[in-house]
Amino acid sequence: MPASASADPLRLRGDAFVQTRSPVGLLVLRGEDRLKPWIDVETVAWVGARHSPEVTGDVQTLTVRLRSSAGEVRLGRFVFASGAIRPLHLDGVRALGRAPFGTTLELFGGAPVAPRLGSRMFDSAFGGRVGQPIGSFAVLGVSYIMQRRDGRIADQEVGPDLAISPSKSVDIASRLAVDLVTRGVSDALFSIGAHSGDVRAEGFLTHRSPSRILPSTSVFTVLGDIPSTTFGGTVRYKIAPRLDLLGTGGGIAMGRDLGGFATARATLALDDDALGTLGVELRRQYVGSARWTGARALLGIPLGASVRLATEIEAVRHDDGRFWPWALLALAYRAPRGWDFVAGIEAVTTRDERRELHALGRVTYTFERSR
Amino acid sequence: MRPAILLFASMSVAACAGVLGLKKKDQGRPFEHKRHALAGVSCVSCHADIDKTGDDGPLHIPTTATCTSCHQKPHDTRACNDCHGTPPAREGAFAARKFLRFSHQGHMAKVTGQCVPCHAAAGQPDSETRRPPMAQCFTCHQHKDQFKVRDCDSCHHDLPSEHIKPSSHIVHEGDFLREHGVRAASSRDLCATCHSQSSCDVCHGATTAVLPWKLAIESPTLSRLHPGNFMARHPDEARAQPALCVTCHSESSCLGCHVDRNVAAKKGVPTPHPPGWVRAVGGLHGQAARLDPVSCASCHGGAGEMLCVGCHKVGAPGGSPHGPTFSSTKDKTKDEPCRLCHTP
Repeated sequence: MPASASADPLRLRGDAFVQTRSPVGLLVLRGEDRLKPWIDVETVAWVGARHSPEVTGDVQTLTVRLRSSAGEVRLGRFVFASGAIRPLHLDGVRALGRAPFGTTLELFGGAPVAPRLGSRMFDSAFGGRVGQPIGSFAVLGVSYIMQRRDGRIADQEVGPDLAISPSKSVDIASRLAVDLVTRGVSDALFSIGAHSGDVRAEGFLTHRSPSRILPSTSVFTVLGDIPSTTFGGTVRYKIAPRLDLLGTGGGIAMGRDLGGFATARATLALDDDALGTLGVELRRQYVGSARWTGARALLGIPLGASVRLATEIEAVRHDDGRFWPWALLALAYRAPRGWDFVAGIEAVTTRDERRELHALGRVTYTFERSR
Repeated sequence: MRPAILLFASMSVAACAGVLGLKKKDQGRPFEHKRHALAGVSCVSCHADIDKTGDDGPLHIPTTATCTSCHQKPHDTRACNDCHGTPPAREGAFAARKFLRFSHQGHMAKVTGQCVPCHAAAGQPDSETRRPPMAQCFTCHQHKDQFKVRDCDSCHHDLPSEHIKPSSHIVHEGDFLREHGVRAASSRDLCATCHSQSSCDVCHGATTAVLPWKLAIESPTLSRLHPGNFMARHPDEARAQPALCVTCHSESSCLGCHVDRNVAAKKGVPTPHPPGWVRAVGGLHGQAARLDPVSCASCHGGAGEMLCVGCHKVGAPGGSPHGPTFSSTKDKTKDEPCRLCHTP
């Protein structure tokens, strides 16, 4: 154990990843700077090669964040996620202001990100959210967004979100997005969770209207609304210090079609620090023509201080008889001075039941500068 | 026979107790702080000069030499730290030094040289750590301004690396992925104390290059949205939850990827639709499109929409595509997509 230590506010990381499936080779560069508490800078970009010769790279995150006690401003490429409105990847600006009594006002504007260094003229998005804490147990917000594609209104939504924690053991989350173009609910969620000791139980209800989620400039939005509603529950039970059980089940209603889904999972830590883990999972989905049963097992174990072995096995059988086994074996080595090496083999069955063997590899270098 | 069953059962329970973590690992014995304090040994006589330290420098954990200055005839030849004091206690001290801005020197004058008001655990013989809990700080420091703006940096100068979870709020348990959006909106800057912007972008971004979990194949226990052989089952997963995919991906993502992988429908490739998909009366495609219009848009979006317009424009044989629940505030002769069918 070192006699003294200090933090590392400046981090640079590079990941070189290659896989023979697809195939794709990536060089991901990531940087973070926390030298000054009022500003931080973060970027993640990748360059690579795929089937298409024109694809050479993209920027995933490139932001500068300035903050003070009165508010903060974020500039660049980032995801804006308000409570009720679906997340939006944006090239633009977001500003947040704090008013007395905890009220917050967020405004954003910019152009939705076009993948693969593309650009779309006359695409824009703006909106915002007002948030208000209610006592110390709830936060209520109202969000609004307008998106334009080629100058035309593609999406205009408004909706509330509410997060409540009436006690330490109960939490409730809900949101509702209303499409102002077709005047109906496009997306909604209600979730309630309660925990006591080693048990946590959740109930949830989601509602989505596909025709309202599509951009309103699409011809597929004129078909009328057949929403899908999902409801169910999750129970997690830490049955022993190292053994976790989780069960999820519920139903899906799509028009006259009814279906269901269920998952059961057990995770066993192989040591007190959970450095090694063994897990098994069973899953069943039965909705329309999407009917399949799957099993999955995973194992991760340390082999000494700097080597780690991980393996996953999965078998999925579709009700129409197709069978998709899959397996992955990975070996990771953490070398001194910030280097990590990972190599893996993936045995794949494709959707049309072809068997393939692929290799994956990653080299990571992390640079950390102390104060 | 009965003793054999009893023995087997006892061994099974013992094995399970070890495997399941029911039997606590022996961490050694906590250091006898209380006994020393009752004997009149002051804290600084062992932790020398700790009252003069800032927020970096040595940890002031006593060495064997410190112990033998009083215990001149040690009962063992090993280092005292090997048995007295637990690794978790020392690791706690190390983590505090590494991740917290804290100066003993700055505090000593305010607590008039008394260590116990903060290190109350020193009086508990079985306590594994002497590091005061965060609630202890709040008995003097209100930190209202910092809480208001979620500015934890003034004490925790590297929360992401500290790997601590909030103890009293935002429980990341059960299926936290489902409700994390609402939680993130209501506690946005709290999330930002641990999660960077790229934590959101890796799933919700339009520019992610590969399935995010493939960059961490050595950690199979991480929560994953698209685990295992997702590529084989993704059409079924998408059909089971219409429009869920487009909450992160644009509807054109499917076509972009299928073209990249050379599996897009094109001339010479058989249609993926079943027989009877399009008929003059009673075709299957209408109901399927109403249930999951996103799937249609993923291949037939943009210029491909004219395939629908050809049959369904006003006066054409396909008839009106509007379902009974359709409504819109658009001007049908001027706005997209209405005017595609409603203008002569």
